[in-house]
Amino acid sequence: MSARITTAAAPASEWLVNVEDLTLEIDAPQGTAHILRGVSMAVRRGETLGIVGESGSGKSMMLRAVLGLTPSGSRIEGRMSFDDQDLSTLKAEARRVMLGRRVGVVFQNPMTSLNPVRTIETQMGEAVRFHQKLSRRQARDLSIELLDQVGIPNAAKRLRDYPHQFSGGMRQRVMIAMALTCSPDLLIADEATTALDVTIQKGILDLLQQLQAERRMAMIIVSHDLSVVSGRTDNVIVMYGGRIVDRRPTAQLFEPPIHPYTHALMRAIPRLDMDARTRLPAMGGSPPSVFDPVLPAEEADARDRHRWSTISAAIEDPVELAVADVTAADFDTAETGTPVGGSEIASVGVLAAEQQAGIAEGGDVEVATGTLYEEIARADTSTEEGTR
Amino acid sequence: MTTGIRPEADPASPRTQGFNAVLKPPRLGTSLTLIPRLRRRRPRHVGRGMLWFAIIWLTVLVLAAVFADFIPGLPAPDEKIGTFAQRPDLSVGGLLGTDGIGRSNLSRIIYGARVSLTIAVVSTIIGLLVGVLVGVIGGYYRGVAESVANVIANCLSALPPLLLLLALVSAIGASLFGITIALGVVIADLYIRVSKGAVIGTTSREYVLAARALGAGDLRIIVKEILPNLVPVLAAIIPMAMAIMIVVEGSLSFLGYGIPAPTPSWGGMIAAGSDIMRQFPWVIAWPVITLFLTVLSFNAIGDYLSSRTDVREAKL
Amino acid sequence: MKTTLRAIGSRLLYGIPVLIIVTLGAAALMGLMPGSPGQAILGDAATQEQVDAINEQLGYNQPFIQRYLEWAWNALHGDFGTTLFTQEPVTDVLMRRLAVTAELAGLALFIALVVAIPLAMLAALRAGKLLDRTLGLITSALLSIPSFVSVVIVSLIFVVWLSWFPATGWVPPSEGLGQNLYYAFLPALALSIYEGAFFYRVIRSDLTGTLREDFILVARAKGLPRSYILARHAMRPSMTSLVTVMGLALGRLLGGAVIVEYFFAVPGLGAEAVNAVSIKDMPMIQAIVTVCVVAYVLIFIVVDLAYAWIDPRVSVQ
Repeated sequence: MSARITTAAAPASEWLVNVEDLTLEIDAPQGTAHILRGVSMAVRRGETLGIVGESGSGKSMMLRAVLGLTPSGSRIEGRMSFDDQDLSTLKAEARRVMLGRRVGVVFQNPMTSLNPVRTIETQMGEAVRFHQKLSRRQARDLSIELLDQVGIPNAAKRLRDYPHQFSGGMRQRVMIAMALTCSPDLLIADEATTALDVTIQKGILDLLQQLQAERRMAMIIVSHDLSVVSGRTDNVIVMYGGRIVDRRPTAQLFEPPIHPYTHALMRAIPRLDMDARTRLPAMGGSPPSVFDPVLPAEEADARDRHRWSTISAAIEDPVELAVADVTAADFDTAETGTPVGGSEIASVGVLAAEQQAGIAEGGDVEVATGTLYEEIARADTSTEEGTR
Repeated sequence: MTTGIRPEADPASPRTQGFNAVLKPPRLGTSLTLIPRLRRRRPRHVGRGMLWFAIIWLTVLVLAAVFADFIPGLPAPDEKIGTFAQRPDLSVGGLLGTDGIGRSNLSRIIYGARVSLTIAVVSTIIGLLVGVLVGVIGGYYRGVAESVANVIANCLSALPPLLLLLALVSAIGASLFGITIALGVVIADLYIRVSKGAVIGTTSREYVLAARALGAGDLRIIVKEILPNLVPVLAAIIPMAMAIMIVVEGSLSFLGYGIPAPTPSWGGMIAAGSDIMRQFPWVIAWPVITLFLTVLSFNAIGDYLSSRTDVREAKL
Repeated sequence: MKTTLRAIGSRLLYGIPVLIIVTLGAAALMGLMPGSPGQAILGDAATQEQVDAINEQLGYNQPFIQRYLEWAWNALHGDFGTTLFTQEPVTDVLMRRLAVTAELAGLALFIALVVAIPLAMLAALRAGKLLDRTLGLITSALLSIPSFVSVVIVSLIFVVWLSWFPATGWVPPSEGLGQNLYYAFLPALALSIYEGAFFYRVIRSDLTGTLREDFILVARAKGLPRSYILARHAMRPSMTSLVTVMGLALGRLLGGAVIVEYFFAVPGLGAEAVNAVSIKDMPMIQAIVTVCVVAYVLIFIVVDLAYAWIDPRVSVQ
């Protein structure tokens, strides 16, 4: 049951963004780069979606393809719709202008995202003055209000400043305020906190969540860092090599059967209680190249799985992936594959075994409390006790 | 399948395996790079074809100029082989027709190339020696030396080059020697600025600081660390400067301050030809085309080298 | 404001040693040249006594330093002496000629800008495509054309073939603006060929660099129209190179329009300079040299101030 692109006459569906079978290719000197290989995803109005993956996995490009911001010369195929409007019916410029008003984007690098030779006032006001024909004074008032909301002190005076007079964290707040000027239906935070100090990250993320709740916007949080996404999103998409390899409600992200790649991402997060000399696990080999030919889903999975499996010295049984033909509707029915049972613990590899061993020695649950591993530890513990 | 082994002790455990970040640190900076793995192609105005043309043309020109005396059938440049402004014919001498006095255009162009190329090369060398010396010393020692270098460079550039040249040539004399010295002085300004800038950029780098800390003598540092970094910068500038030299020498000859007749020079030929260009266009056409192609070739090579050495186009 | 004034002041101060050195150098060079003013004025037919008399009168036989200091002292009071050529006060001639050259330079810059900026913007938008590559080749070619060739070509096209404009001559604006432009157009055009190509290259290069910046992506994501982004976001940071290049071009044009003025018989500063050098007209030469250096320093200051105005991160120091 894939979400259909409805016409204007039909009642509005619950899907704000709907992408089907999106493919993105660019010609480069070394050959054709297949950046997106048939991805499908959807976002409901008001929901928060997390997109996780390595750099180069295609997560930013997917969003850019929807927004019409891909580099020139790129070829896009597939169906995209925004608010039930088929985007292919619009010409490129018109589409970009329309989406520019309805989607706010906060990019990764606050140091370079603002024009250094123009004031904050101009940059904050230009979108809303163009799209909604606000006067200069109205735009200014709106800007001050927004800057207040995002926590910039002395907003009225700061409007006349230039970007270099703000610190990194402040600039990112300005970016957020800027993205909200046209009251968008969707806010995209594309690695918005990656370039920031960890201490500032939390503040920004909290701010985003708060704003989203207040305005009932949909939000997409893109990150390579699982910890940013978990706990703040309703659903999660994991991307790898230009494909979506895992999707599920965030609450079930760490429930077995854990996807081996998600698993790998998780394990890369250092824990505060780890020994300082602990080496973080790594995946052997190299990531798939965009120039690799496009393979059908099963073959690609098989190839990738091999790489993911190197994270453990020994992996018992490969994890069963959710069926390749995932669509938007699957978020309703989170298909998690094989049920969890005692012997299946081994199917998630050595981690579970270690956890078991740890638990057997005592203490892992307490240690894991408050960290990402808490869920796993609890799940393993309850399995151990056979309550599942 | 509990292994019963404590995770920390197990050498096969992922925790003790080598550390490579699973997740590569994201690229900061321009997130507009297509994707990390696509090389961004530097736009070049000079295609491969143009470069080859430039090389071939210059080679032919140099060979012709050097071995002019041995080209069979080529008359001397001051030899009258025909009447006033004859049309081109099929003889070697008359290939490009004759000029206003009946001399072979082809011959005059080839011998004129000698003048232009010699002047260009020698004046470039002079300019390089003076300019790089001043620039490196100023850039390396900073302080007073740098101020002096700045003053010299500014003095040289404050005056329009042609005027400076006129004055110098009038003073020294319009001989090969005089003109090359004058041109060398004028272009030294460019070399001073470029080398000073490059040296200042290099000296702040750590390996120079390190060498200094190790007690390496200044001369050693300059020769081993700084000069090698200067070479690519200069390599891009030199062909362009030579193009300028050729043009300026042409201007001098055009105004009558160049090498005196009867030695042919392109600028002089153009000046002479402009008087009769209405009725006899080929007399002026050949030196113009030759000059144009030569300058174009130097510029093309310079463009190519500068795009290879990452020197920004806008830098002067 | 204070810092700006101080910055201007320091740069002016800095220009003084340059001025002194250059004028001294010019005087020295003149001294090296064969011949004396007496010879230049009276010609070959004069007797030695007559030449000596004139030289005595002009103070030519005094020691070099004394002559220089006298000149400098007078110059500071605005008296640049009289030209040896026509016995007119140098200042008058200078002003007249400077006005002509300045007008020519201004026109040439105007033409160059009007042509180069829109083309550069178009090319930067479509970087790498046909328009960009073609223009790149054309400008490479134009940059390789020396001014004495471009005057010939311009003349060939517009005077010989089309007969739209006069071959030589000049009419000052006071005698009719239309006539003035009629005579000024071709020389300005000839000058603008090189400058226009140069401007185009620099602006296009800077623009393409700027267009790759993140804040342009942000502007596009806001849904702003392309023309707006180009004009209001991309051009601004690129203005610094434009200003630099304009400053250089102005410096070049003021004194270096020699060939064009010579060819089109325009009574400008460059032509006068050539004349002065050929007859060793010391006062004239010194005056022209002074003008050039002063103009250079002033342009330098204006450009620096413009940088600070364009890019708020740059502070005037």
